[in-house]
Amino acid sequence: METSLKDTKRRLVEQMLDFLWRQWSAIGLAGHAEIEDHWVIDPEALLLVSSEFARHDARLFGEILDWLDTNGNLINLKRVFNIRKQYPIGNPLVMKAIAMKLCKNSTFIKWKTVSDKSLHTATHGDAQQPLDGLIDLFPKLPFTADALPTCDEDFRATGIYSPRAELRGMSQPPSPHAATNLIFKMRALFGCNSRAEIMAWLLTHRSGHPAQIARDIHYFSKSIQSTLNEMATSGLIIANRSNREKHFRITPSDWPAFYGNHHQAGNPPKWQPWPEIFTTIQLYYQTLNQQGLDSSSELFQAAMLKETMDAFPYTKNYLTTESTSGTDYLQTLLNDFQSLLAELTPG
Amino acid sequence: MKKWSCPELPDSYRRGNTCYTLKNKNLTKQPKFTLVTSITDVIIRQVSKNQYSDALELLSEFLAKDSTNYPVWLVVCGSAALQTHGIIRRATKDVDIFAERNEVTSEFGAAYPLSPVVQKAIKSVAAILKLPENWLNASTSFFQLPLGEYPAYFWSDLKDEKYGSHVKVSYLSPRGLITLKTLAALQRDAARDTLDLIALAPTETNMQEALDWCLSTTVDRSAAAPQIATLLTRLNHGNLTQRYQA
Repeated sequence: METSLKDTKRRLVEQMLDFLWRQWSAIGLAGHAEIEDHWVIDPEALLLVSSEFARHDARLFGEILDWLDTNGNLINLKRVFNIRKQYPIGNPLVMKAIAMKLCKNSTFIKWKTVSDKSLHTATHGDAQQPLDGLIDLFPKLPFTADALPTCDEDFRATGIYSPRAELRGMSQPPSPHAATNLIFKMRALFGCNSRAEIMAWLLTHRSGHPAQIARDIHYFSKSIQSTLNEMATSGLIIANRSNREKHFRITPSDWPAFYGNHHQAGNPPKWQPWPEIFTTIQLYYQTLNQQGLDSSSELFQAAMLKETMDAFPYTKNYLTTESTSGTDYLQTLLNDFQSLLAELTPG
Repeated sequence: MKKWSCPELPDSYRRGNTCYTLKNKNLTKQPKFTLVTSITDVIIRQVSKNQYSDALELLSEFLAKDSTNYPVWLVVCGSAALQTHGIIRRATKDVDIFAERNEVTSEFGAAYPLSPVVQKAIKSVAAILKLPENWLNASTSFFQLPLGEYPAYFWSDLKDEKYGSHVKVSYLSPRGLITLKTLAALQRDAARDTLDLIALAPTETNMQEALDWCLSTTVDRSAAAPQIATLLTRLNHGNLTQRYQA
């Protein structure tokens, strides 16, 4: 094999951090995003995946906490829980620690609902509990006994060691002008509820069936159907019945202001299945991280990766490994992930 | 009729002159000849020696992954054993486990059923190498006689090979294989058994001990006499025919 798994892992983390910096900067984190992406950012999926990958960059993690301290109410926790119900994405222990920190502020009281139960840790078996001592939030900043006085008490209460960080208060609310921030713009108008995602979905797809919309925005089909029926009474969302199915659509010319400065109605930003993409990458990363895998045979590495990918059928949407076997599978899989990550981090 | 429960068997299995089909994990008797209904019925993925060596090495890595797993020591018969002795070169459909051995005492024991850990590892290996799911199976062990009924020479001159830290294989000796192939040739009348026997080039003594054992266990002398005669003639031991007349 051309590159070792260790190099692959290192490059994966670098690319994911690059990607996360860009996404968070686009929604108001203190930093700068040079390239404006042409997709819609999913705040909940982004927060979840960051709870795992941002652990590799203490500065990014600190800035995310700062962003949440300003914009915490723009996160739709119901969606966080719905996404977690379906996908083993993010790090539940870190999510709980973040929530514990936020809900100290009475503005963010809703974050008290973040728990093992609401994060469905039993379903995914990913409730990481420290048996003794503390789990390091940042693998590069391991806990030492003399660091105890400087550790963050909220994180420590959930079993995580993190050095205390001062929030800089530099984060901004998401800009309504960036195409990536369509969901935030909708939330500002419709509130932090399913109507915002329904509108964002319709603006990017124009028409769809309630079940399909519900699946993509991670809500229950019945509640989306009834919300769409209500929204249709505005006359701005049109309900069409074809055969037995009821479809809902918008007329793009009714909504020019909603598409933002740079994006015409004919070229809306792309709706990406972020929970699926992030989970696929995280599963890949977790498998690469398995103890002893570096020193195993390539065939064994291939088998372990295949076992993981096969257990989650949606990973196939990003892989071209179907007809490969043995070490060819490994090489194809590594190339597929390289391509996927390159798409996420253009330039 | 008698039904056997055997979850790891392929969908159909022949015993003697009867074909059994696996339905709801029960073997039910089927007509000997059935129509081939689709192309997939006739395509059987084959395993070459290199491939099953790789597969056994990988199986070992899977078992070693968990420190609570014990190494396994398998006794293998069939085409895989013939290949290991350099007797045949053709690829095999699967690797047949004849028995298991105790890692500490080296004693032999029944291999069927394989432990769930081994069965899971076999499936994982099959998935990555695109092998049949039962590429390594103990079906032979399920159908065979109690191990104590096999002659003593079965358990000697085994060829041991190690695959990684957790899989050891004892391949049956050519002498044991001659006996098994003779039994198979008399029971199922498949051309490949006779061809394998020809490749094994048994001596007169080998054939005598094999036939004597077969007749002392499951083969009916009067019914098998014509088959024995044909077999001995094909093996250039026609002079033994008289000894095995009904």
